[in-house]
Amino acid sequence: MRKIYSSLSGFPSHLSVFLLAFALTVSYSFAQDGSRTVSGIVTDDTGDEIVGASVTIKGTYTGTSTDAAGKYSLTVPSAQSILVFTFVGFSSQEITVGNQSAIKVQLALDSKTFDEVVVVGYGTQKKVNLTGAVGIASAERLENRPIASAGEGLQGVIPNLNVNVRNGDPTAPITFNIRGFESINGGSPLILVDNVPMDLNRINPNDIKSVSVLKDASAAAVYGARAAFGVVLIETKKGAEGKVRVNLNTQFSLAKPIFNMDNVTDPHDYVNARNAANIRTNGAPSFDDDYVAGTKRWSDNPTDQNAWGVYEGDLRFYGFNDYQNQIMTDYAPTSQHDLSISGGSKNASYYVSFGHFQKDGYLKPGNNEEFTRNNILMKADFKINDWISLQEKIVVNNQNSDKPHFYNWDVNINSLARVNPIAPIQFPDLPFYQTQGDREQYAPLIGKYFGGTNFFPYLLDGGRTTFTNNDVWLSQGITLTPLKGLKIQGNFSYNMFSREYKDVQSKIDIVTNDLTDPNPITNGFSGDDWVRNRSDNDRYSVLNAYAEYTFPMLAKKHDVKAMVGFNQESGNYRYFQAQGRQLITPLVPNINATTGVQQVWGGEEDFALRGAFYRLNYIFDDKYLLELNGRYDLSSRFPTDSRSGFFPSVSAGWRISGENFMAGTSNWLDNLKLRASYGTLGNQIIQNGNSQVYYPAIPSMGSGFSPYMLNSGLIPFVSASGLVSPSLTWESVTSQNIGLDFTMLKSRLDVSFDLFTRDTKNMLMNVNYPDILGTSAPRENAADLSNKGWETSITWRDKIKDNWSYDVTLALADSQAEITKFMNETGAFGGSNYRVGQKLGEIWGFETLGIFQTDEAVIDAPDQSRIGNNWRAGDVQYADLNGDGKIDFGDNTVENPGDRKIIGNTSARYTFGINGSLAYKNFRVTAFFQGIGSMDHWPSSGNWTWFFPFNAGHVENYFLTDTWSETNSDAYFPAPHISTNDKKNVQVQSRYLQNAGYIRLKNLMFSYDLPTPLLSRIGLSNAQIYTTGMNLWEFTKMRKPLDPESIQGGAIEYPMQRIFTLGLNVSL
Amino acid sequence: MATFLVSCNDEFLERIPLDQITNETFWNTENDLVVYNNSLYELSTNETNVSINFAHGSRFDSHRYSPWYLDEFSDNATAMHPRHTRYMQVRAGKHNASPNSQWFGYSGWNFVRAINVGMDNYGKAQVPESVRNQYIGEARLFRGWFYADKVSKFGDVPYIETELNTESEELFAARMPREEAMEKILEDLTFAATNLPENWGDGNAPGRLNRWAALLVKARICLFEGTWRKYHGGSNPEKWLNEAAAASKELIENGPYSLNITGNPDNDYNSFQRELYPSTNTEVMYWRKYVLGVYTNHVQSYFEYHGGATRDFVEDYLCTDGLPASISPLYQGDDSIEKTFENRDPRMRQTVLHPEEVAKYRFHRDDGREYPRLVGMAGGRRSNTGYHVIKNYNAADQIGKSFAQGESAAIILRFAEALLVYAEAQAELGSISQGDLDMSINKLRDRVGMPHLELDNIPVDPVYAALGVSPIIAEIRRERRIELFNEGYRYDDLRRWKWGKKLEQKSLGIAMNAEQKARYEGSVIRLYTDPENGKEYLEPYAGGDFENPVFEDKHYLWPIPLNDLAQNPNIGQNPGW
Repeated sequence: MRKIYSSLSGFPSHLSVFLLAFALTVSYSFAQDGSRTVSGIVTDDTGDEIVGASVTIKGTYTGTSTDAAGKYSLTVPSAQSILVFTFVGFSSQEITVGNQSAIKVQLALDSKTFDEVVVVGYGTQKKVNLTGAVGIASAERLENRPIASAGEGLQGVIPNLNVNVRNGDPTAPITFNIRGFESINGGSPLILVDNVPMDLNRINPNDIKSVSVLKDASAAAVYGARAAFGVVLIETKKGAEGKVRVNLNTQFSLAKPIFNMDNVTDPHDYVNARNAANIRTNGAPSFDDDYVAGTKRWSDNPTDQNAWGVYEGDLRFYGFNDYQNQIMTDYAPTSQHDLSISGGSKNASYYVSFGHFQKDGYLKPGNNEEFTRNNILMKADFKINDWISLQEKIVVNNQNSDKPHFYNWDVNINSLARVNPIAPIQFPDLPFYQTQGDREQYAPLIGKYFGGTNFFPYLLDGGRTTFTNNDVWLSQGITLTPLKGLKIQGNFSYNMFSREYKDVQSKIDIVTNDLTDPNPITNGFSGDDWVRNRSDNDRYSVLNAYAEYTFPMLAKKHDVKAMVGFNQESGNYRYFQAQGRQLITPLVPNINATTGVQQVWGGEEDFALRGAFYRLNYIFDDKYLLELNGRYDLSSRFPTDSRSGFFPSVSAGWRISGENFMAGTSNWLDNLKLRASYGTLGNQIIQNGNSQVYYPAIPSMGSGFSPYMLNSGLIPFVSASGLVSPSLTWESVTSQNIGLDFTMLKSRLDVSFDLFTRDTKNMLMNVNYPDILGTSAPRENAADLSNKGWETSITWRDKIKDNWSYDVTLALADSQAEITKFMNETGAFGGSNYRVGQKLGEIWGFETLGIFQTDEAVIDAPDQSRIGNNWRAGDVQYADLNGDGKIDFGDNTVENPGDRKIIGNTSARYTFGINGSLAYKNFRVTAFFQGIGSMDHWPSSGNWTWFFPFNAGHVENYFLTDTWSETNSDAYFPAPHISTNDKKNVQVQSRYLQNAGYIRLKNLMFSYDLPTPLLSRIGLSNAQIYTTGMNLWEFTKMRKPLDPESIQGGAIEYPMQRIFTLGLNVSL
Repeated sequence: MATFLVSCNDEFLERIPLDQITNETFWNTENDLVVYNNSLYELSTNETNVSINFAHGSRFDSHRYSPWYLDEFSDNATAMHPRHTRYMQVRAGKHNASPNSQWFGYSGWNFVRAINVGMDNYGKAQVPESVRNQYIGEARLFRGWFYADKVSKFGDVPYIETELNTESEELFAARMPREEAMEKILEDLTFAATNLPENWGDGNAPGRLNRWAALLVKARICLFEGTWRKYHGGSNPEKWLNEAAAASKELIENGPYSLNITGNPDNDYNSFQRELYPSTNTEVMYWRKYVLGVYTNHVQSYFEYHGGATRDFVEDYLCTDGLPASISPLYQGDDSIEKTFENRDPRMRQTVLHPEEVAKYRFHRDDGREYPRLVGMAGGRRSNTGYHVIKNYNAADQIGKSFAQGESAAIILRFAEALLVYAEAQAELGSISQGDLDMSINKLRDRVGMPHLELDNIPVDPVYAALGVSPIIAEIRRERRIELFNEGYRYDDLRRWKWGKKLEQKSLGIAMNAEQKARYEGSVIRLYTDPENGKEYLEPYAGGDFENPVFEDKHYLWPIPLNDLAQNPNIGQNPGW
């Protein structure tokens, strides 16, 4: 007789908490009369005894586990006691003790793993029968986290679902990518919520029931021309027959910006450092002797008196302003409240949820950024009769954002890098200014803000940018089941999206520090004030109709299922924008209250798509799986003759573990399946930057108004149309996938591995013609790329001993794309040029030899004068890779790149996520790490970015300690120089290339479920209290101040934040 | 199923642009031609791509693109701000062939295409030929002007006169030789100067480019080509000089313009150049307008990126006796800036700030400080030569105005240039008469009360004699330099006269003796000792990357950007680069 060991405990099936319980004294017990001892043996259905099976008295922590012989013995308080028998991989069983003293239990194998159903395109599929590459995530990953959007919560969860969070801004779009580089035209996965394309960021993360990611052509085939780069299927929660269930989740968070600037705090050090850099670059100091002396005085004795002075009519501040701490908040509040009510009867069920999310920005002074999101989801199912049911759905998403008007990067969070710390903030109140007795003259200026890169006045009074998005989806569905095995479904969804955007640039007063100025007050950047309103109105409709027929058993062992369907979508996008200049008063920021030039703009675009699809599943003997998919699509974006496309795919699976010859493995191998797929999809999306091009094949003339004045005011103009290719058609994407899934050790280990290639063919490219063409080249279907990669997901779950259980999931993925066809005969760099053999993300740069230690070394070295002038000791020495005695760009072609080579690659490699949880009784800890194994990043050397020393206005401690001097010859950076002016040392090169790989603890949660008996006494079914920390820790080799997760923009943007949350979840 | 869908390939899937028009439905009326040509004006607002019809850019771009900065390429003025490194680089001959087009360089082909699209379609409009030709003339003026600028900088050019598509052979052709291209350019300009209306009836506010504008542009370009061919070698320079003389003469004699003369020689030269809206001025032929809320600049504030006029330029002013400083007994030397101004052409005081006139010009925003102020001194506006440029300074466009509220006009074409072109063309042809001088140079001198240039009594300036040009040509070139200072002509002039050697000399500022050093306490500019007179002068570029300027033959043309060469190697790099 075999023995079955150890156990996987099911942790609480839902995670909920009730705070009130903490106020109550937890005390409960059962009457001791009638107590007795119960003993017995636990076996599986074959009679093998189970070792370590858990036996507990329901509603208590009292319990035991079976011994090496599968036996147990336990004292129970009464005949009413219920014993719960559980063991990993088996269904649990509950038995009322009654009069029995010996209870023998046979546990049935838990078929859950095998019955697990996964949402696939227009239907569901048992997980074991999947043949395509599908990644899955359940609601747990998204619940109870202080995230502004569902996308943020999916980061790192599913291997090769790459979620790009640009920065910490809840209004910044989150972009998705499946399996790496898509097309040189961009492209992104199709995201469907309950079968309807929707912006995932508009869905309440807590309403999501499951997420399926369809990665290969086979899985995505029924979506044809929209699914070239994968599909993310979101299923929302719905009601079920049973009693009314009410769930309330509320949480409160504090967010602290992750900001890595380490400013020099001594103004004298600051002045000296900038002077040294400026003298080297421009021959003159930045700050005169008076500033040097003044800051020295303050530095030695930081009194108010030493902080200010007047020199040659200039009011000067010699102290130190800690802008960073004055602008950035320590903790910004975020709160989230969700209420859902669900239930149903035999003929109807419903699910209703309301969500409210509110997040404050990172700014400390008044007028912070604010973001709120409100969600309503209403779903109801009605059964009309035995074969007709109706599905109703209403989704409402409302987002509101209110933030300071964006003037430019001078007065924004980026001014933290631009501003010098001795720049004064407000006009001071001094006993006198230039001469005794002149205080009266300057008194009106006291307290006014100085200009330049001083963010404060603009933040406080410079106007606001606000928007309200209202997104409403109405959906009507019908399901017919007229005969056994046949299910016909139809649904029609209509979406109304409106966006009301208002931007106000409002006049503020700026005072000059020049005491001689006859007009000391101006309006700074706000001089030209205006208000602008924009209304967007989008309409979108989707019709789906599909029928699935499961053939009655044709013969034993043959399972056949077929599905056909039709899909049609159309959209219309309109906007209207108006602007009025010169507000009569900043108090009334409305177009109606302006007196200056007024302007209007408008636009409208539309598109349509129509397709038909099929799927055929054939399973033989539960072992051999075959699936055929296909879709025929028509898109309005292409000319009539080239608008259609047919996209077929085939996939097959072999459940090896079901074979007879594997019988010997059944005690440790639960499931082993090999999958393979091949198929083609299309891409109809053409992007121009971030916006879609809806009429790429129709040449149209531009029109607008030019500020070129012929008389007064704007002049209307119509401009030449661009070039288009009349034969434009689909990009096609062929993908091949081989996958292996296995589950073993009684479901303890679950592994899935996929290897894929994805060839994007006939990419629409802007062929790079010589610039004298005078316009962008028409897009032609003329380029190919090939993307290869793999991904794996490994889960291990186990129980250590009684009451302790844990699980770990690793998602790991990699891909790299290469151009296989491109028209670029000369191998030219520049522009949007690619070339055959190019790996996407290549960084070309010089190889750095080091830093010149002496002027003689410069003379002896190859001539660098073609990339900069006046080379001296302390400058960077580049390698003469082609040995021609000079450092240059060559012809700027791949054949002659001068002295450049490929020094790195910006593609993210080995992206991973690690999810772990540990549970003890009602306590649970989960941790989620996410990161990138390897990625190169060239830090922006653009002006006013913060990586390279003296590239922006601030001075950080590392500028002092890590720039070259004769006494610091090993320094990482070259001699201090103003690199905004002199780019010669910051050419793209190997020395300053950053390794942007990182690991970050995205989420750490600790939760406690209140005990059931207590809850039931007060009428609750579940209550959980939890606390989470987001972005608590990270490791990266990238140098500060860069943050590996927000390096997409060169300038400083809304920082990522560490977020601490306390939450409560209660269910009735 | 597929068949079913194809049959459904109906209007549901036929979508056409809802907010744009197509080429097929356009080009019908005169208004269509008007609004199309408006797009050419619109494109010309991009100073760096389309470096003709040149104004101050807008807002932030005013810090680098303005005709007032272009003299920083030359020996007339210095650059001071690091953002003007490009100007310093070119002036010092330290620029290189870069991957992408540089400022005012090998770019702007979208402008050519827009013109050529117009040329291919103007014929469709149902309008009288004469009306049509006005708009064709406007487009051809732009095309000729644009290409002349490219020829001037790059020599041979990729000359395109029709809309290209991706099959066009021109894309991968060699450049058209400059002389061939210039013939095409001349045809364009002649057509424009023949068919454009003398008056569009739209006032001078600033309105559309008219026939007179075309004549001045044509005269300027032909003078460039004539002198270029004469000094660099080329066929038939006389033809071009004759065209220049004829065009300018036509404008001078028949045009409605005249010099701005109110009888105030101390103001007449610069007063109109400081106006915000010079629409009623008789001398301003074409200008760019800026109005708050429509189009604004920040050029008055950014003008401090300009370092100042050079010693070399200031020395070129004649003394009031009509003699050069090198030989005039009235010249008081340059030991102090005040001395330098004594007995000089009144235009000097209207160009460079005299310390006594700080209040008159309300110089720097009327801040009450003493000027000049040098780099290193605290507060106010600073210069690295000591010669603050006042010619276009308008305090009113700065006082109390915030960022990008400026409305300073950019004068693009002014009548005085026609006089200078005429005189120079005649002189280069060797056919200049006293009558020619009286209708040109001497008109300019009359305005400021300077003695006439007498053909039979031309002073011989040893400075110019050393450069090997005849006294009459030397004096006309001097007059041009003085009159058109800070309007962006000098760098092109030096190149066409083949005077690159002028750029081998350092740019200097005011003289500094012990007394002056005490006066400018705190200044940090280094000094250069003039080996000829042993005196010390400010050396603005000392200690920096551009301390030692070079000028080789290759510098007469700019290098073709590497990316353009990579796209089409047939265009070839210019010699020496």
